[in-house]
Amino acid sequence: MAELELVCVPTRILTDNDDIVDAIIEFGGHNIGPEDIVCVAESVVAITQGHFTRPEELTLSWQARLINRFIHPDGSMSSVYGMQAAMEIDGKWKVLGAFILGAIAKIFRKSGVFYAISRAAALADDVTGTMPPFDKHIVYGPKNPDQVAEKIVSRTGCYGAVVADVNDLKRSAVLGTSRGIDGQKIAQLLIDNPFGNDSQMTPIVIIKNYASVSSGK
Amino acid sequence: MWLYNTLNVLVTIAVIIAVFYLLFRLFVLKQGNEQVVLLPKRKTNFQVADMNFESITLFCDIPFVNKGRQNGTIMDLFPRHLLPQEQFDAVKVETWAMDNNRPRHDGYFEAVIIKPKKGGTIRVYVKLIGKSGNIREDLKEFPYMNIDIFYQVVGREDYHINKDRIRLNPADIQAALGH
Repeated sequence: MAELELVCVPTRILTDNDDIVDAIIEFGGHNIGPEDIVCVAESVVAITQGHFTRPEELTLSWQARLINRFIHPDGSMSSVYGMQAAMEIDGKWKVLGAFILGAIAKIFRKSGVFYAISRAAALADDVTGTMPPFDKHIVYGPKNPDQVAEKIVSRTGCYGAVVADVNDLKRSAVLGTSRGIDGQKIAQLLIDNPFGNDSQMTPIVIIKNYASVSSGK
Repeated sequence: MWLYNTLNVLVTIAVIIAVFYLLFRLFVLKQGNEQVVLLPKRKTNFQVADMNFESITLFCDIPFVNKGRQNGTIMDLFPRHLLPQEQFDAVKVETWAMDNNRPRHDGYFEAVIIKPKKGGTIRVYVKLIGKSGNIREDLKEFPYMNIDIFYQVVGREDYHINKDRIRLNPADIQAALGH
């Protein structure tokens, strides 16, 4: 009986000159079958979509200067430019509102409200967050991750596809899926971060035999 | 009367905003900022990295430290050599730098986060290529060469670009050439 197997697909550094689906076919196409799930790292999808900015391109708002001071120093939003970048996507008033609601929720010992409301703040990678040459950029979350996943399925003929955000701290989330795929199940399979320390080196992971194994269960 | 009440409300709002602003500035003052600096006075002597008949490559190490209370990121760092042809025209000069903790061979400076009170060292390379093809002859009259190190730092406040200067002296060259 077929078994689940996670196959990492190394690529060259992908940039905004690349198309993520073309890259998947070029580097992993020979290994993708009709029973497989194709997983792709969210930061690389965003980079290929040109969804990033540089601190030099941002004009800081007072809201960004205010809020970043209250973020833990290790978070991407502790940088005033990371915070401003999130505001460029979500809007400064929405992020400010999310921060106020998050602060109130903290009083009641509920954490994560700020990032749940401001998804751009949750998904943005600040400077140094990605590999060169994007280490000097702030990389946003991907645009239309469901559509990207659908496109991967239609072009490769795989069983399903997901856009995933996984790190080494056992944090795994699926941001977009093709139709019929349970994102939470896939997130659990990716919990050990098969993308590696730096997902740009192996931005694609193929979960082999997923369809037959999940139907067998 | 309504004017008096309106004024009262406006003044109260202004005072509340001013108090919150003052509290925030005090919080910022207490929290502090990054203060990433190079320490050029503590640089090592130039040493030879590579030498052949036509060229010589030297390097020195310069410590850096984050003296502040917040994380700081060196986004980019590069050396700029200052040897105009009016001063000396017998060599072609190339300079580049890297973080010693993450050695590279491409001249690209990878952005790095520095925790408060932590630091590291950067290595600055200088390659002198003799225009006549004989580096020993070409360097005989070498005067001195200033090298400015530019580095862009970002943290909780606006990014800023700092500049520090080191100097390559004739004595460094003579020592490297074994004279």
